[in-house]
Amino acid sequence: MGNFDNTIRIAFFILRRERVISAMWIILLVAIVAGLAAPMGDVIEPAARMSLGITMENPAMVGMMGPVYGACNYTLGAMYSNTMLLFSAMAVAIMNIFLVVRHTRADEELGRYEVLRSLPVGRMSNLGATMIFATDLNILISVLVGLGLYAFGDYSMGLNGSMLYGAAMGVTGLVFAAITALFAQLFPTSRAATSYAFMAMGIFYIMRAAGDLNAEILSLISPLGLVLRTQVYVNDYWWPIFVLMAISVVITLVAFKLNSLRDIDQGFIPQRSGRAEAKRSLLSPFGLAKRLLMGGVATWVIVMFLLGASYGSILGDIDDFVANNEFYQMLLGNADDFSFTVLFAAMQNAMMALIAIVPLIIIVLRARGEEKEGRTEAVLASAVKRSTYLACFVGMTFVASVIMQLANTIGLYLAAIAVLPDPSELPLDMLLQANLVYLPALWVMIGIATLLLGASPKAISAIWGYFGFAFLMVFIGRLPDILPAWVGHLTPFHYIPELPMDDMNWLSMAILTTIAICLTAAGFFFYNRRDIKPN
Amino acid sequence: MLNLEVNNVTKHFGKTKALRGVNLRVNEGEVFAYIGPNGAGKSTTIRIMLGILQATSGETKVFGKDAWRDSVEIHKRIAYVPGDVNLWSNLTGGEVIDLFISLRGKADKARRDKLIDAFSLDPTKKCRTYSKGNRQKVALIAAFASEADLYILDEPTSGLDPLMEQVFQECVLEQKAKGKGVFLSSHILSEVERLCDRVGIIREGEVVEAGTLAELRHLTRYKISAKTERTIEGIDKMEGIFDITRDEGGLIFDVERANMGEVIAHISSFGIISLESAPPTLEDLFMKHYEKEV
Repeated sequence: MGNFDNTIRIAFFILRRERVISAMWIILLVAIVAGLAAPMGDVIEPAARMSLGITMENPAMVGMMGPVYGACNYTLGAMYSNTMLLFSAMAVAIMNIFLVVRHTRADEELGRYEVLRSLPVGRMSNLGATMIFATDLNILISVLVGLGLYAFGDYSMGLNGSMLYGAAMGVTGLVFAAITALFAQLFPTSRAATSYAFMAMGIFYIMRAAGDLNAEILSLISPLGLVLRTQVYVNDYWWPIFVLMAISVVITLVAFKLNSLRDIDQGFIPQRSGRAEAKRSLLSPFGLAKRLLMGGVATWVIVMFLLGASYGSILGDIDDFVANNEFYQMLLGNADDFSFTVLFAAMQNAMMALIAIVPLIIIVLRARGEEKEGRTEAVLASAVKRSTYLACFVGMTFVASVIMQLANTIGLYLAAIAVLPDPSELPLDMLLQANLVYLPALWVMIGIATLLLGASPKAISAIWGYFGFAFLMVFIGRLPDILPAWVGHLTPFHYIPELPMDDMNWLSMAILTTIAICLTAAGFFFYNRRDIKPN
Repeated sequence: MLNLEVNNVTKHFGKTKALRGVNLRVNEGEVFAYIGPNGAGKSTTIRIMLGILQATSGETKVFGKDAWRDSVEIHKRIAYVPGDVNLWSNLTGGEVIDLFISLRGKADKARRDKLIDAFSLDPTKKCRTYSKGNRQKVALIAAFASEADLYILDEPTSGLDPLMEQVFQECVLEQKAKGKGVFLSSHILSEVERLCDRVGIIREGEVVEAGTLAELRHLTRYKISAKTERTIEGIDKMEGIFDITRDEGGLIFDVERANMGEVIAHISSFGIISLESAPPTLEDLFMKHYEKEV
């Protein structure tokens, strides 16, 4: 019997299992990447584009998005590949990491792989089929993105460049599929394989950032740096594509070799054993909640800090940029006493506050997740009060809300003082006030989530719908005459004063906080009185 | 003194009537087996006893306290092992054991270590790597290492191997010897037979039988195998006779206990050569209740 018997049939089986998830990824990626070209072209007019090209050359932006090619003739294509290619490629990489782990280590962990192997299939058929499927998927995405971008029809986005853009995405996907396949052999759990693949992506990103700023060689070693050397829509070099293809083939071959050497369920890097006894700090409902939530909260603090920093890093050239861009002027509104820098920072505050809601909702949803998995039952069957248990989760969201807001303010401030010609334009105390003023709105969202958890746990996902509505309102609400005014009044964000343009409104702060407390208390009331059950 | 008292408890989930009036009495220091087919309402009853679910109607008292209102007070004296043990994937078994023990009350380190040893569990492994049997061991160790007055165990041994099943039975007997109560939901009949003082059988949300095993046996049929000089006539017209098969020179049939006397008297008139009577096995007992049509 060969090593690859029935590989093709398994590949079709993977296709069957993937038909929804992979189709969603294809639609999402192609729609976003190919679809954003048009609005970007509309919103950023040629004059603004030229000043954006200059903005993009500042070190913070190069560190974030890569080197600027063709800055002296910053065409729509040049701008598009400069601002979008890296993140498009990383999105495909993420898709590939999940895809490959799902069909290799995760299947093995769940015992499905064992069942498959008991059938007349080869030792390497499953890995082979996974890589065949991943390759086809990446090629399909490359072609669709390429055609989609070409179809947009801007003179600066020709067929060759557009296909290169697609290929750059696809080949990055392949490299990460190969890396993940390798990690799936090395590590004995799907969780470890996934996290190390993401860690590799993070390291490649940082290497590229460092390389793009002052050590080109680091960028050439990092796949994420190399892929940008295609200089899509400027010089259209294909050689990085072939180099990356070769790299992915080599890594894949190593993965196959390791796969043939190891036993089922085993890895090459053994699982570390943990503590045989718990630390004292774990031994309470709060200790447990802290342990369950800390990793996620810490990650989000870093995300919020980096988001703040990335917005801060563009503040240096924002006056020039906005002065040339009518759309942004409309978005920011007119306030004669304040510079565009301050207005832009204020708009970012609203957006950052919205993003900060995400981790808070995730924490409340975690309480529901624990219930669904039957673990809440186990804890409540010991001498723990329901309200104590719930307070551990909800309390954590209130603490996290403050931490998130501080993290993004500090990120914004540190980046801003580095790039602003006159740092005194954005003093820290003003930024802090402008940011912390959103806390009551965050608390109202926590209150709604808690109320849903208590009163209608099956419908708790509806909180995402309301979150999406609030998100849209914060943006659409800034554009005049799209929706009747009262629609915008339905989110707590409407009642938050935008500092420093608006005056502080303590009354609405107090009312929002009171509403938040009442909603939360109602959530506790219902939670204490309902059945704890998985469905 | 009653450890547990369930009076006419019903529980509806939407239109589904999971419990239709359950009555149970469990005495202090008693090992009580709660048995019934899948979906009969065993776990629902247990969750109501724990105050995790609220009964639609009826009254549940543990240690004389209301199971819903005073749940935290009750839980201080209870150790519970759920039927489907789900643990936190990034905590080790040892950490989970310590967590559960400490949430229930004070810890007895020596006892914990002894149990980990007896169940041969590796407490340094993350819970995500444990098999079903190992997850059950974690929950069982955490339960038996806690000082409780009542142990509520929901099918605790479905994933254990026979050796570990033995360890489990010793743990239960040890608690029984100390005068602690055990409420055990189980499908393993040998386990029930060995450990339990009394049995309650639930079917489709109702407790259809409760009592000691000896008492329950009386409620069922005996298997009679008889050989006589002359062919037995007319027995198929008697009451309480089932499943008659004719054998060479004799009959095999089941008889209700209540009709035993008259049947024997009838048979003896045909000149008995040999007569064997076998009490019902536990399987017979349970099958009678598990089957939909009795």
